[in-house]
Amino acid sequence: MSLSFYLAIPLMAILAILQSTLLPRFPIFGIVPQLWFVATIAWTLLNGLRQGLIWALIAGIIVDLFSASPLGVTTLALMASVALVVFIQRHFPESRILMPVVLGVIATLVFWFVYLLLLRIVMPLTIGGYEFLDISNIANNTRIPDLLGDIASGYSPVGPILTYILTTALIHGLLILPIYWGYYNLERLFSPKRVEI
Amino acid sequence: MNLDETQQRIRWVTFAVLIGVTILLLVLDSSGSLDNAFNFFEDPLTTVMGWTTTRVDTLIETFAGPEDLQAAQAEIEQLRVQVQALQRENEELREIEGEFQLMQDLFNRARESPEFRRLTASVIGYDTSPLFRSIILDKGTEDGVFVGMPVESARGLVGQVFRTTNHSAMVILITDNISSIPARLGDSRATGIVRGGGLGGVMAMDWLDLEAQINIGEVVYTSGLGGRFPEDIAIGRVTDLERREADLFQRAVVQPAVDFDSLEMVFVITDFRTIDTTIFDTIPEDLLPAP
Repeated sequence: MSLSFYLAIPLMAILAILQSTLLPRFPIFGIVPQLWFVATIAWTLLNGLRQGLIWALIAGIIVDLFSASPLGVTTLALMASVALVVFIQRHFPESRILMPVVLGVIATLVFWFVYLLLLRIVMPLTIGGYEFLDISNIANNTRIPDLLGDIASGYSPVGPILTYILTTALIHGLLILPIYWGYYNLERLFSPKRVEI
Repeated sequence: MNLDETQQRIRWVTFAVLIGVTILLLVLDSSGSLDNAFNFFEDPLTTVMGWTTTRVDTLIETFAGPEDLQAAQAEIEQLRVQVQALQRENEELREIEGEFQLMQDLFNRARESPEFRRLTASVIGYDTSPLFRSIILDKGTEDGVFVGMPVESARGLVGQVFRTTNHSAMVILITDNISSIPARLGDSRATGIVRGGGLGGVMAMDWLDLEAQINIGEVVYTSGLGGRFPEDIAIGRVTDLERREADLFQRAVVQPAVDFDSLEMVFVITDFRTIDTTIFDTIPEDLLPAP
């Protein structure tokens, strides 16, 4: 295991604790940015797919420990996000400012898309596993008609969720810059490039 | 007579005249005859004296300034430290007052329903995923908290224990969209199920009888049906109604009674009396299918 593995565990533990305790107290435009996510994507942009996936695995598991989300859903969504980001990065013009911002936004959008998709698949199973939460299966079996009813009556969660995701993506796009540059300078400090004379 | 003798004589006469005038003034003063004359001369002089004194004081203050300024600055610094200490003390007292209020509310709530067995727990964290509405408590299985236990605050129902560790518990809030609670309205007595809306959604009470006359502002309580929650815990208040003639049921939008963003302490209800449904366990003979 590389050094990054041992760095990722304490860092993600700290970030997950902050995410659960401190950050909800200081939302930005009503949004709590997900620092663990931004930290993982920034690390991926600098260190490539392999390390990105390791970080995604660690971040996903630790973050899910502090969430009602089924364990593994965050990891899978984050891994998909990391893989796509690395793929796009290869075809992206080299830039240390524009590239992290754009890929930070794209990564967030991909993460949420996969996350929601996975929840849609996994949650009915999960709810089945927690029967005490659901005294009436009728309520779950009618989710789609309910959603359509919500849209018709103006109480649809779709609009707010989309707004939330887009705002989060923009905030992550801005937040990734200082973190990316922080990693970049740390790496240069601890492992400077070899120069042949 | 030479000049020297003349001059000397003039001096003596002048001296004698001056002494005489002085003695005269002394006699006149002692008899009070000079009061008017004093007033005449003294009044303007006192005015001038006052003006001069003020200027002199200013002058002295100006020269003595730096010393006084230093003393004043030291005093200001001292007062500033005192103010800071008092402000800190004030903040601490406010904090204590807030905690006291919180404990008093919880105590009052516990007094309202003494038949429940409760455990006080502090909120130590929130869900890391914005899609889920859950909180983390500082009490776990070692403290007697188990999965499924209802959680309430002084203002109303908070949620249900969803996952536990030895020293912590995760509680799904009633606003999460995987939460569904059997509920009853306070005035119209209509029953239904309150579902959380999750991120971007609204909490709503479904399956309400279309015939029921529901009013905006009615309080929603737990009905106790199903045995998961005790009855009569406030959930929220009806803020809107959706009645469509084509539907079989109506729906009420519910504003939660609890402010979930400012939750600090909650009660985990560890034991409560459930509604007795054993009557339904045995099927009456007349309803049994014929052999």
